[in-house]
This record gives sequence, C-alpha cells and structure tokens, in this order.
Amino acid sequence: MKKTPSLKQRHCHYYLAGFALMLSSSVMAQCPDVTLTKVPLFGDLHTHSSYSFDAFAVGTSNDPWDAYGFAKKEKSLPLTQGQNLWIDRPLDFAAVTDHAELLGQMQRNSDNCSADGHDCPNGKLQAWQNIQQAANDHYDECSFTTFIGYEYSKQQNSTVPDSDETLVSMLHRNVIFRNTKVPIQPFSFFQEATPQALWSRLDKQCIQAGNGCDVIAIPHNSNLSNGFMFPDFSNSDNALELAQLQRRFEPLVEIIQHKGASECQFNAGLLGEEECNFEYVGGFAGLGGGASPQTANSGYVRSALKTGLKIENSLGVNPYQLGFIGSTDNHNATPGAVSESGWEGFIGDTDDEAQERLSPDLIEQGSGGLAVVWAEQNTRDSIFDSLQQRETYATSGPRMIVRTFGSWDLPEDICTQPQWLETAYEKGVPMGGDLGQSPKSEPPIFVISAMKDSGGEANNLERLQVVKGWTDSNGNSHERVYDVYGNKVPTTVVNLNTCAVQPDVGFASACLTWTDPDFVQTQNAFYYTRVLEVPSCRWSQMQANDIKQPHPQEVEPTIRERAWTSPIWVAASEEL
Amino acid sequence: MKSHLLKEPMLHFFVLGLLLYALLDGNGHPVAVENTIIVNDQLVSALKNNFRAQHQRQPSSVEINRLVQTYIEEEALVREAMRLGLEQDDAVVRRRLVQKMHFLFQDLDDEISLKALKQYYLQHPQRYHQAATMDFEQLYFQHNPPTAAAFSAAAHPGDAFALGRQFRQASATAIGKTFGADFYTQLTNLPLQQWQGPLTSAYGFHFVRVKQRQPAMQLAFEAVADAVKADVMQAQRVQKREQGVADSIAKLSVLIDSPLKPLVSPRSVN
Repeated sequence: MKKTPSLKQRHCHYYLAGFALMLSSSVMAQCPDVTLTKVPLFGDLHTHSSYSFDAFAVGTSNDPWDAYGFAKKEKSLPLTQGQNLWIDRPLDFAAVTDHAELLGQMQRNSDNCSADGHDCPNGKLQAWQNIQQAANDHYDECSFTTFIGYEYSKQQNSTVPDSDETLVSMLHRNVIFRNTKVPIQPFSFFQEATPQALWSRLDKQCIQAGNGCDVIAIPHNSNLSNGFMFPDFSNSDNALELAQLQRRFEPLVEIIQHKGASECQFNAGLLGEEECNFEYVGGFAGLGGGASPQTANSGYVRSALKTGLKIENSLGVNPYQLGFIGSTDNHNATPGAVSESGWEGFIGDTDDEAQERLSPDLIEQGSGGLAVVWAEQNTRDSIFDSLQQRETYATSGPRMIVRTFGSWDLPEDICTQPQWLETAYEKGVPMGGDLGQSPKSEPPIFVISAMKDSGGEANNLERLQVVKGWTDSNGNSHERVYDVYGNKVPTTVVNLNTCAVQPDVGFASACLTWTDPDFVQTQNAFYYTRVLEVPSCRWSQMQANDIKQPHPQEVEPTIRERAWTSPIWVAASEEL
Repeated sequence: MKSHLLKEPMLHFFVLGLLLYALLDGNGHPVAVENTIIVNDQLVSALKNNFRAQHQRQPSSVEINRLVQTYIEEEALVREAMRLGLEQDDAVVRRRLVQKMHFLFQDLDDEISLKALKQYYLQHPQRYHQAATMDFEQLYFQHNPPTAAAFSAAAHPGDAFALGRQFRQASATAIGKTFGADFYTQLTNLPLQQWQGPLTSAYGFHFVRVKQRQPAMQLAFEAVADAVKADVMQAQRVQKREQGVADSIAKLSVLIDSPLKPLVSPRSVN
C-alpha cells in the first residue's frame, strides 16, 4: 500500500512550503502586474532553428535570435519559399530547443571534430553559447520569458519479435533550464545513451552543481515511441531509483505538436473513445509504427497516467505524475505559428507548399499546440515554478482559458462567489496538484471554469469533459470520460466552402462544480479536464479551398480544437 | 521549391542527418596530404580530446585504435567522394557551406561603446518605454446584462470569470489579450471610480469600474542598458551578415544572361 503522510504531517509540509515561498519571493523580482491568483501565459517550448542539422538541411536559415523575435512579434521571418511569416499574436514565453546531436557544427575550426561521425565539441560549444546568448538577449522580465534549452533526440532501434523488421522509436525530450546557470555543454544521446542516463547526468552537472542550476526534461511524441516511452518498469532491479529520477526530472509531457496528439490510442471501432481520434497519427513506416496495438498503447499519455497509479501502488512512488503542455516542434524557427488559417507547414522546403502539405504523406501533420502556464508573473522563476508544479495545460492552438481546482470541501456555489479564486487556492489544489487522501470518505469536488479564445478564430466552446483513470483492488486499470457541460454539435455547423461556423452554437464561458459519482475511497485516481471547441475547419480544408482541390479522404476536414488540463491526483485511503 | 531529399512521411530527418553528417564533416584536417593519410600525434590527441569531451573519461587503447581506424576510413571515403565530385550540386553541402559563412560573418566580439549604446537608445525611444496601464474591476454577464440604469454592483454580481474581478497595472496589450481587441478602446475614456456598462467583449458583457490610470513613461537608459546592448548586438549581427553577403558578391562579377527579370540583391534577413 502506498505511504501517504498523515494529515498532520501534510500540514507541516504546507507550513514549510509556505516559509520557503516567502524566502524565495523575497529575493525574486516582482513585476508591477504580479497577480497572486495567477494569469495564463501562452508559450511554445519546442522550436528548432537553423542550428538543428535537420532544419538547415531543408533550408531553414533563421537562427535562435530570429526565433525569439518572431515569438514576440517583433519581426517576420522568411520561409523557404521566400515568403515572410508573422505570428498572428505574440507569445508570452518561448524556448528554442535545437537538437543537441550534431548541434551547430558550422565552425571553421573543426579540428577537434571526432572522426567517428559523432559530435564536434568545439562547434557545439560555440552554438550552445549562442543559444544561451539569444535566450538571454530576448528575456524581457515581466513581459516576455525565454528559456535556455535543447532537444535530446534519442532514437531507439529494436527488432520486432519473430521478424527481421526494425522498430524505430522516438524517446525524445526537451531539456529546459530555469535560468542562466546551465551545464557547459548540452548532453546528446551520443553521450548519454538512455533518458535515465541523461537524468543522472543532469542531476550531477546541474542540480548538484549548487549554483542555482535547475532543469526539467519534457518527453514528446510518445505517440511515435512504439510504446517505449512510458513502460511499466516496476519489476526491474532499480525500479525505485528509476521512478524517483523520472518523477524528479519529468513533471510534464508534451501532449500535442505538429506530429500529432499523444493523449490516447485510437482505432475506429476497436479501441479508444471517439475523441482519441483527434489529430491522431498512428505511426508510419519506419517510425513509431510496427508495434502491436497492445505494446504501442504504453506510448500514450492516458495509459502512462494509469501505469503511474499502478507503479505507485507497488513502489510508493508515481513516476508518471505528468502534467500537460502543447508545443509545436517547428523547424522553421517560427514558434507559436499554430493558427489553422495560414499555416505554412513546419519543416523547411519539405512542406512549404499547400500541395505538399495536402499529400497523403503529410496530411496528418497538424498546426501544433501551445503550452499554457498559470503563473503569478511573466518571469523565468515564476513560470518554471509552475512548470515543475504542473500548473499547466495544453491547447491545440487556440488560447482558451481553463482553470480547474480539486478540493475536499469547496462550497457548491463557489462559481458565484466574488473571491472564488482566493477560496479555490485556499481550500483546494489547482490543476497538476495532488489532493492526497480523502479525509472524510467523501468524493473530491472539482471546480472547472473555461472561457473561449477571445482572439484568433474566437470559436465558441462545445463541451467540458472530465477524464478519470483509476486502479481497482485487483490492480487493474480503468478509465472513464464524463460529459460535464455542453452538448455535442454536428460538424454540419461548419460551412466547408467558406469555413464559417454557425455563430449561435456552443457557449463563450462556463463555470461549474463536479463531483465524481463513482468515487471509491480505496482507489487512487487522476482526473483531467478536456475542453472542446465547436467544430471548425482544419488547416487542410482551408488550404484545399485556397488551391481549389478536394479535401483528402485520409483525415476529417473539420476538427474540434481543444485544451487538456494537467490532472489532479487523489491518493487511495486504507480500508476503514 | 522542394529539394526531394526525402519522401518519407513526417520527414524523419534525424536518421538522414546522421548519414549526411558522415559525408560532411571530419574533412579539412590539417594532416591531409595528397595520396597519404597521415596519422600523427596531433590527430590522435584531437581524437582523444573529443572522446573525453563526450564520455568524460579517457579512451582505452582499444577505443583509440577504433577511433583512428574510423578516421582513416572516413578520410579515405571523403577524399574519394571529392575526387568523384560528389560534393558538387549537393543542396545540403551548399547549405552547410553557406551557413558556415553566415557564422563567420557574424562571429563578433566587438566592444560596443557606451556612447553607441546611448545613441541607439535615443534613436529608438519606442522600444524603451513602459506602456500606460490601468487598474480596474469588472463584473461579467454572459447573457442578458442589466441596463445601465438598473445596474448596481451589489445586486448584480454577474457570472464567474476565470480571471476574477480585479485587474492591476494592465496594459492595452494585456487587456486586449484577455478580453479581445475592442475592449481596451471602450475603457479608454471611462471616468474614474464609476461603474460603467454594459461594455461588450468576446465573452459577452461587462460592467467596469476604472480605479486608476498610470501614464506611459520613458524608461531611463540605466534601467534598460542590458536590453539596449542586446538590441545593438542583434542589429550588428544582421548588418554583418548582410555586409558579408554583399562583400562576397562584390568579389565576383554577376552576369545576368537570361530574359527573366533578375533578382540580383541578396535576400534580406528581415
């Protein structure tokens, strides 16, 4: 059985945490518009510039400085066709995350390059210094935050049992640093062959450096990992150590980006609920394809959350207590270019024409997503704290505003109270939080508040849903999706020729409380909110209209844009 | 234009990149002499250094031998490839060279004088000012707001708003970001300390009480010196890159022998 601190102990933790917070906030900068009940900041933590070998190979010439200038809407950037692109609205924060592997080997002095076809330390150091410089140059405390980071791009090859086929699985992570204190070089998979080795190295050379260095790693494209991203490793020799490392370094997962959503597995009529079909990329020849559906399932986030509960029951530590963000994985150095309308592709000259993007090979690509962080102010410390605490949500591009709190004793009428946010923070935990055990054998109460995107396409919201996962007394995992507000509207509300959406469907805003009707006190569980917009044109329908060709059959011409909030966890109580 | 490097769906450049890398780098070692591959102490020490940087330890003698063997194979293949002219008309090789040139052009450590920084600051006042802000309280009504005459804050608390009621030090940008672009315009002329409305936003209707306004102000040079320096350096990087491209073209004569309307200026960075 999992060990949870007693209520008294937990209170003690709160006091300590509160004290630590006072200490830290006394030395941190305070912005004029600091908001104790927090504001949503919209960003992109996954962007490649010309420093990534694959980006420059397909013609991207924009460097890290350009990428930040683009995110701030200070400048437009040339794409490979020569056309200039502006972001539709500025971001609040961004990180350029070039591949650490072969990072920026563009120096003249390549004498020290290894002959074994691997990294070139001098070249890498120079590029790494530029990446830091660009992030620091563009950090405008209180208005725009940059993070120094890179991508660790581990590609795992394995053999399909009883076959000579090779499975290529993505185990990629973005490594994001809190501040200017970073290791002297980024660690690629040439140095650290496994994610576990990467965490150990980051622990040694960042956390233990004692200079204020702090770091997280954010896995992405687990949908293309053949199930290797989030396995149940509870039977391995060093399971406890692994679980603690993973938990320490990976509080978040990127649930959507250009190469699809990773929320849950889908196979029409066979597995997954209908909304799992959203921006679904089921793997393809040579990458993330080939594994059996059972095996591939452990690459999806909902499965990981359930596996985490199981491991928690056996080890006492949940390695997959994952909050959610979205981002792009853009390779044109254009972070946050996520609008369905005017989407120009994401990877250089490979997809810079509508005709190419609409081809069967590329049609599943999407316009990516955004990371949303609830933070008191737009500073590195404030945002990084919230990333570590998982007070985040992911969107598929639009900027809807979503809050969830969980509590054991929220008033039923909280939505109409003038000080509802103060009350919610005082009596509950926000998204990403841990509620611990039920003190009174009663189910948790959730408050969900959602408002549509006020800019961009400004589509109304359609439904609010709660997704619950739990483990029963036999150790089996379950999930259920609850519709808690709104009704499904048919896709016929979209005029496919004009992409106009009927204006009178859906709602602009909602706030409600919800209690789990199936709560069982002895089961650990997670709850996350999914907010769906009414249907609207997918980028592909807009571009098919532009070039006057029929929309490809492979994907739906409409989508329900959405947000996924980080889960709130409930611990199992002992049988009374 | 499409280079047709890859036809794989979802473009897995990663694998390709690794393959290309073997062809692209590792040449240019000073030990290369025609028809001879020389393995000297300088080379071995470079290989060892590189290994150490990657693995945080010394290579074993077996590993050193392997590094040298790999180097010899790579060097031989690169020379053979060059002899066959395989690097010519290769889009990736050309882009790599262009990128290296860009790096050379903008590789600068110029000292920037205080005078130059101040001059830039004076020339770009709009970059270094703090926007006007306001403090206000709002009540939200998704549908059917009360009329202005009937409204009282006590009797009409309105609907829940995800960001609460109070907004402090909010700039036009911040207000527009939350409430939609037109909302700020409706706030600009409201009298202070009075409930006014209903105003409209993307979410519905609002009654608003503006409590205080803070005017825009120019920030002192001292307060923004770091930002100015970053801006000057960025401007210099762009300028040096453009200059480098222009200088390289100037070393050659460009003959446009085509009926097409020529594009002779290098592509601007902005």
